[in-house]
Amino acid sequence: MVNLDLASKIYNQLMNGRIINREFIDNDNFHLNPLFSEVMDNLAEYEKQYEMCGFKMVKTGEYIYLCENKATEDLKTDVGMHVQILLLLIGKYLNRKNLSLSKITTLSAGISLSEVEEVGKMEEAVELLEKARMTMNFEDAFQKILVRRNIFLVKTTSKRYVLSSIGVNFFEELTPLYSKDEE
Amino acid sequence: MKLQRGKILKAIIDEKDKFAYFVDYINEHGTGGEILKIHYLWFYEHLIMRDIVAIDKEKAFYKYAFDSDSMIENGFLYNISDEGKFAFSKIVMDVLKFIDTSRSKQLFSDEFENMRQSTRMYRDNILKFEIGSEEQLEFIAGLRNLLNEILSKVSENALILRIKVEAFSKEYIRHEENISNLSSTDLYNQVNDLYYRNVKPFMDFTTTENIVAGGGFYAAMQNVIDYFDDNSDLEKSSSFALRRDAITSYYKDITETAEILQHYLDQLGKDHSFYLVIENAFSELMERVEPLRTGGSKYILLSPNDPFFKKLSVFDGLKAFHYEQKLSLDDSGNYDRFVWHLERVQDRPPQKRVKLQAAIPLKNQVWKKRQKLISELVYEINISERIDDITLNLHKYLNNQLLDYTLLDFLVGLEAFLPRLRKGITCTDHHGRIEDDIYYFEYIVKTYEGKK
Repeated sequence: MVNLDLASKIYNQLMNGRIINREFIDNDNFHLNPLFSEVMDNLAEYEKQYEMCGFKMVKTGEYIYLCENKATEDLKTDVGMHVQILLLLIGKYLNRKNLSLSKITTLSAGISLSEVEEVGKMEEAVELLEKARMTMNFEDAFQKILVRRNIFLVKTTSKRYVLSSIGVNFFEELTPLYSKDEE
Repeated sequence: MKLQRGKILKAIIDEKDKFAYFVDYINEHGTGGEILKIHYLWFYEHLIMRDIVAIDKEKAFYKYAFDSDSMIENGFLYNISDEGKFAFSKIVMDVLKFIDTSRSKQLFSDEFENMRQSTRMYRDNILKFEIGSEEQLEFIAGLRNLLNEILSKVSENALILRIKVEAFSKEYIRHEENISNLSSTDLYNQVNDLYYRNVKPFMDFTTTENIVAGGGFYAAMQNVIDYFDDNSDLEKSSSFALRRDAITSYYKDITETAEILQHYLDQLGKDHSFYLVIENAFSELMERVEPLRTGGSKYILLSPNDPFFKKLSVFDGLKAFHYEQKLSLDDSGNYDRFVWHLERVQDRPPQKRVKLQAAIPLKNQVWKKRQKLISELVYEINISERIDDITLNLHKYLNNQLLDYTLLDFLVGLEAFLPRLRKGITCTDHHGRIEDDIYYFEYIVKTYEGKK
């Protein structure tokens, strides 16, 4: 049965373009997200609710978010583009620093705010932010676009940020597209 | 000075990094353990006396232990006085090569193949000659020696590989903590090399499965064991079976090592793959930016519909949905729809325009009445054919007609009077002045001349 209290929190998250992950970080550990469980336990009701408002739930076993009920080619948004650019910039920074992607994908590691600041200092970062009309610096974009939307999860005690499943999915989606030049 | 050999040997092991200098020299020049005296003396003065003895009091005995005379007296060095060289004893060389895993050469595929071929050769000859014959006994003895040699190599190899994997694990952790000098690609190549050149051939050699063309070590030994079993020589068959099992038992050890390596290989392979993927994707993104810089494109900004982003589907449709409905209205909307839209944007009901129905304030009414009275008076004026000073004329007229006359009344009257005169007004060079109790009005004298 739908929990109305959780339903309104879910609505608030989804309508604000945030991602509900299966897990959230508390005290530097992963915990099951009650919002995710609530949706999954009452999936039919929630899908119907949002479908009636013209939305579609994008759901995997790891995360949920909301998009308009349109054809795929009409779903390209500025926010989506911004997220992809920011993640690629972080990936490029890790490559330059000789670090593996697991630095941002494993709970025990994570990227620090000083490292985020360094990403923003990359020449390409300044240009890409400008070309994508992100009228803020990289640190703000990181917080407003990636952290606030739960694409990066914060470890409060160590002040480090870990990529959530949807972010990992992004890099996995790139793999078949861009691994052809392997020498 | 005669010292305890064990103590010197331990000191050599403790300072193996320093002694590695000689191992490198010997390997590089192929001197078989010989080194130049001046090298050893330099080593003793600088690396032992200056860098260790002078600093660490607990290692003060190195002064005597590593002194060349003492090393010779205790049998660790040989003096080749004619050539100005020293030679390390075999035990020192063995210890150094064994402990220094970064320099020791673990067994490669070829060496395993040689051992396999030798085993097959002994098997063939043992089976070929008559049982108990002198030739066969020679080959049996040869096989025993070979098995001893193989066992020694295999056990040493297993240990070295384990130490290498441990060293690699530490390096991987350093890499994760960003304090390693090696890139993920370097690490990947190292592990890959170790796995395929050393570990895999070792596993193939010690496995009980017959996966090697021409028969593996285990199969060759099984033939020999079966042969002696068939000829009821149980002593030889069990002796060979024991030696064979001692060698193949290392399969379990190396399998564990291989599993650890495989884990790192998978992780590093993934890292390596992500590295390339990010490099390629990022480079394509920057290529898309290039024409936006130089005006080579009709746009100057990146668009979500750019071919680069069209290929990607994760994050499709992600956005906030505030006031989303207003954007979905039909183009041919009506006024009501616009009102609804406005209501949503402003977050309050639309303000209705109220028609003015209340009475005009009293003050305005009085003034309106006076304006009307002045207009009526002006329209009552009989206009003569000629008026010399229109302003003065009107001023005198209204002053006579109105109580409480002011120049404000005059201005209202003038506005009504001038349209009556229409053409025929001429401006002169003269100036005039009229006044009431408070204000005065200076003017250019205008005359009127009507049609005759």
